[in-house]
Amino acid sequence: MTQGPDTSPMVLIGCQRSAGAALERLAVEGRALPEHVEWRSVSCGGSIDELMILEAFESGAERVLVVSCAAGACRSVVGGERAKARTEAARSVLQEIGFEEWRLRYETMAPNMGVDLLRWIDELKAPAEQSVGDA
Amino acid sequence: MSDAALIDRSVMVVGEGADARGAASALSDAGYAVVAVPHPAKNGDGSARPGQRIASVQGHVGRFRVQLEGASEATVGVGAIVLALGNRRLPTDLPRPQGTLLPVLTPASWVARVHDDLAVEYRVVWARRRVIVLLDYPESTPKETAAEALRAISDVVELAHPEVCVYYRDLQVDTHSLERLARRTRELGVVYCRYDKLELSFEDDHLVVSSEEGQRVGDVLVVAERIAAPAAAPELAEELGILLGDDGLLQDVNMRYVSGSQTVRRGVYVVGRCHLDADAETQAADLQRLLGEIVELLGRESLPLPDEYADVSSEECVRCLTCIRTCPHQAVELRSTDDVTAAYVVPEACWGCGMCVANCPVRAISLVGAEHLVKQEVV
Amino acid sequence: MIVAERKPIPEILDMVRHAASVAVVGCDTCVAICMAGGTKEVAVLSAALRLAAKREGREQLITEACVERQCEEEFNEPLVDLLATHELVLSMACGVGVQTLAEQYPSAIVYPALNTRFMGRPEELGTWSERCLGCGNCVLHKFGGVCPITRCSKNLLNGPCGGSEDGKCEVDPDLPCAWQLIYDRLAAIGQLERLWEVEPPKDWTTSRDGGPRKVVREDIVP
Repeated sequence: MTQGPDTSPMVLIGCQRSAGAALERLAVEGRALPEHVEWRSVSCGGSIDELMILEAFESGAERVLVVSCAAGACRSVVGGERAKARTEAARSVLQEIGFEEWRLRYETMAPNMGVDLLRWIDELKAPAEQSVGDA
Repeated sequence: MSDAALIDRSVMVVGEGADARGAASALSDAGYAVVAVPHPAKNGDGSARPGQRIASVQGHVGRFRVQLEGASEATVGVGAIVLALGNRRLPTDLPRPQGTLLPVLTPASWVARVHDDLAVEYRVVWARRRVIVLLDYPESTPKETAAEALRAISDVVELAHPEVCVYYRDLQVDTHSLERLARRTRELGVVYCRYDKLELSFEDDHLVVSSEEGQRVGDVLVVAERIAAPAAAPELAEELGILLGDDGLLQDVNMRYVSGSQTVRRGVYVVGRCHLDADAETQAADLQRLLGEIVELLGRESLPLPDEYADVSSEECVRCLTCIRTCPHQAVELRSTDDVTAAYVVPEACWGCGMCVANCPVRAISLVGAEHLVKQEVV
Repeated sequence: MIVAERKPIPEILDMVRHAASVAVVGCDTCVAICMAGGTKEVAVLSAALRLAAKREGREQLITEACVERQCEEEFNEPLVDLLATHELVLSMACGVGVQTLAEQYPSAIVYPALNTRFMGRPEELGTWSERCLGCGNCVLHKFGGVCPITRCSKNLLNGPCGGSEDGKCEVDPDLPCAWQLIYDRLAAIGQLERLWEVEPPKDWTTSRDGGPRKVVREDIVP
């Protein structure tokens, strides 16, 4: 059973050196973020906190993708780990109020992974439902 | 705060080897006043060796106050600190019985020995020698050390034509230079022998090596040294609030990758073998990069500022110390102004990462643009 | 300091779900420092409550506020309008703050968002552990500064029990044996002979077991 593209509002929170740089490169290639994705940039993954993520949902997002530099690439060394830990804290709050787990996703990336970023955005939707008698 | 008159434009160079001398000399040539602190590592029993050591470091970039101990106690003001301690080369432990006449050499001493012998025409002696080169024993040999060994092999075989067999377990020739070296040495007749288990039997003047492939006899054994971080690395890292790499070297791996000569703390730099061990060309480039950083830091009217830095509202601050504990860059301190004690982020030391902002339980910190710098009186 | 932690959100939702308006009031003293009820945590919980309301199709007004110290009436005075205009007050202070608000504003309905846990200290960022349970008769001078009441799982005053292994408590192997700590500390300060002193059974009347307590400084009372 195929699913159509999910165009419900999404917020992308990412650090300037990973997602930000990737988006700039994509723009040069003439590729932009889909219209339903709002980009919120921070200087370092370490400054991402659960409030930022909850506020993204409060502002109308139905899905949030959080992106930071990989562990070995953060100039502040622990920014990525902190971003991941705060994303999990947000996830735990969201689950306590009944939000599905898939609505929040965390990934690490380098600036040359723009294609992966676009793919994660595409993939951030409800898991495919099994219908009875599906082959 | 960024008052030009208050910036100390001298540089402290820490270390006592060739790297420290090279850095001190290059900085001095570039016009900087240099304070050299040998900081010899303590002896095994904890006793201090003679020579000045760093006891504590206060302040921040442009205004470090370093307390020295040793020959004389002193407090020195410097603008930047350069760590140039070099590294240690430790012989690999081999179970060698006393009294064996078998020469066991490092790659560098092997090359030197061959050159010396050739100078007095002992070529024929070397041409008859069977050389065993041992890598990955007992642990994997780091790539740089393996490369050094292969370079030595290639030098010696071209000059003196001994019979060489390299025993290795994990050698990964996944860089161009290593691959080239391995291919070249193979062309020159060097045999490469992979092993899982190895037995070394030391006789009077030769060595018998047994592996899955069979047995081989050698008249000379060449074993790469291990590179170890300078002995003083852990204590200095703790004193300065900087991170060690996984290998114990004086720079977190992230900083090596993204920032070259910088450590996580503004104003504290690393140069030379205490943070990377490579060939002479790379080391020379490393020194040039350091000079560039120092000029960038101290060469202007005021210290460079990050595009964004964290600003603490002293009225809101509850002195929970969270920002001070969270900051990976040692940029936050407690400061008293007019009887109000609050956390204070030193703008020049800040990296604008925002971790303190995210963690402050009373939301007293915000990131501001550099143009918002407000002049305050320095207490 | 007092260490508390936020109740599970489902439990909080059960308390506040029915209310048309909730004032979430935090405290920027102890509970801020242990990251449970300060300005930031008030914002996080309020966002969660708003999201929950939206998700459940409810209209609910959530207003955020925070005071310096909720156990002092003077700091709570500015809250009077907020409390008057909201059906419920969800206090993110420790139990003392919750009760102060309730006593100060008898017509307000004040519910606790936190579970107050203990008096303790931070061990490292993000970890707090208990050090004092307020027994009212401190004997830390006899035990090298390590409290056997709080830190020994069996509250032994004449320990050790002999069940520790590698310095860990037999009741909870994640805990260090308090008597090992006491021994090591007394040895370090040269007071090991204190261990020979037999401590009589504790008089618990100065503790919680004697009923709610009060401290009065006659010279300060006007």
